[in-house]
Amino acid sequence: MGLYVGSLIFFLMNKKKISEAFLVAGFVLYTLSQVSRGWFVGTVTPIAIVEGVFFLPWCLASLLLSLKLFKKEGSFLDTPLILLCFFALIALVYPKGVIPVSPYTNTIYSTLFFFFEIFAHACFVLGAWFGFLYIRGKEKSTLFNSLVIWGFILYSVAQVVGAIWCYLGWATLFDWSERHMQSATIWCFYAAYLHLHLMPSWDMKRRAVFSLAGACIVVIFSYSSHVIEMNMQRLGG
Amino acid sequence: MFKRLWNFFADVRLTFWLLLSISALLMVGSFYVKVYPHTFKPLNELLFQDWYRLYGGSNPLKLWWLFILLALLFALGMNTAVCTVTRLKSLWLSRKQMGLRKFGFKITPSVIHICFLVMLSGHFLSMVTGYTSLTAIVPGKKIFVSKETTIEILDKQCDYHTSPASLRGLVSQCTVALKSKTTGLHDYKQVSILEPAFLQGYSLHLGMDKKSEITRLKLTVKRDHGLKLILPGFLILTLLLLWYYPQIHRDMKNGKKEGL
Repeated sequence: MGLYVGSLIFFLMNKKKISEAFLVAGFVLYTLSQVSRGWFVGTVTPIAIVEGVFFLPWCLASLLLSLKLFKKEGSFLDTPLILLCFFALIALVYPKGVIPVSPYTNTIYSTLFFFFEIFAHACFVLGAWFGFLYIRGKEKSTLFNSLVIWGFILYSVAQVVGAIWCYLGWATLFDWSERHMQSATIWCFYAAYLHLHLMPSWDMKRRAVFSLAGACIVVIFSYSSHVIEMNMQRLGG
Repeated sequence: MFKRLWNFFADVRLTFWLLLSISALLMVGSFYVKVYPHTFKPLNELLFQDWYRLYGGSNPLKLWWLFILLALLFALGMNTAVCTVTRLKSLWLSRKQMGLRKFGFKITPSVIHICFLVMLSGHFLSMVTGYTSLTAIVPGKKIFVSKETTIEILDKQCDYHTSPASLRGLVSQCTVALKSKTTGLHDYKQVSILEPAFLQGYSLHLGMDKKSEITRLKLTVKRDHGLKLILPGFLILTLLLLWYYPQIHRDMKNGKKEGL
């Protein structure tokens, strides 16, 4: 967390190389911390690694580093450091313990579901950030659009894996429950986004506003369930 | 009249507003199912028409969103079908000018929409047909699935973590032994959590409720006609998305297409 904040401070001081070094160092340490969560209870529990609050900052940082590696230079690629610090700060104050494993979570499907879902969330959130910059005229690239589309694809993969997990465990593919309906809300919302390119009146600026609204829904839904999970029994931490 | 109706459903703006409205209603519905679990939880265990008979009639104010949602989903199905047919028709007529590869690429969004229609139909089938029964696990208890099929619960066993110390005492897995009888023939099955068994078109799933210190086990016997449509439909749809969008992205980079 300190390294991420350091990276942000050096970015604001216009010391780009040092900022990048701090970001990479922060990412390496955060990765080690995430991996160690998997062994936190004394046995391998991969689902602990992909717990939303802790995994989202990792996904954001990995996306950010990948973009910096593969995209053209641009100072706008450093601005999501603010976002990264914000979500890492939430992870810092959140209970660190691991939710005990149950026979329901002891499957590769649960881990894969959360992996793809949180990665999709990261794409939506980062897409909205770049969309925000686009609205303000600070950035001309439509990178936000690609991120939102990739977010939707990853979210669809998560829903397929989640459906298999749900069927094996609960004998259904869709449940009339808060969690499933919120997932369907997000999927339909971004499915609507995918159709915007066919409507000429929806230019990139309006699409950016739409992506911003989508990220708000995603963050409100996921963090409202994280708040509930704070009261769950946890091991260690 | 028919042409006007066709043109109305063939409009992509309708798709957008329907998806957005469905999204909003699902959001509203997520609050309702949370606030009124006694009304909506049984919807997961009963067929829609049976649930409506038991819970729907007396609670119209709690259900307004559900009926609008179902109507909009039906309209979305119509809209998707009409748009897909219109697009396929125009693609088919111009197939000779574009070659097989380009035709295959251009037809992908239509196949994705067909998969979506298959999924929607599957959900509809799951809602109104099939069979679900929920039984608490008590050795010796018999479940009469149909005239020909009976399932008897023989035994149950739960294993607990012994190590590491942090997990000691927590359930690691539960297993139930079952004996099925179908038209005079006996068969033995075992079900565990996340490891269902299958019998004569029915799937048998073991569930667990952990309230206070007692672990309650339950057996769900299910016949879901929609399953075979929803899962393959969603899987193919997602695989096609994974194949289609990188190509669009590549074409955009190469300046071949104006992009999404």
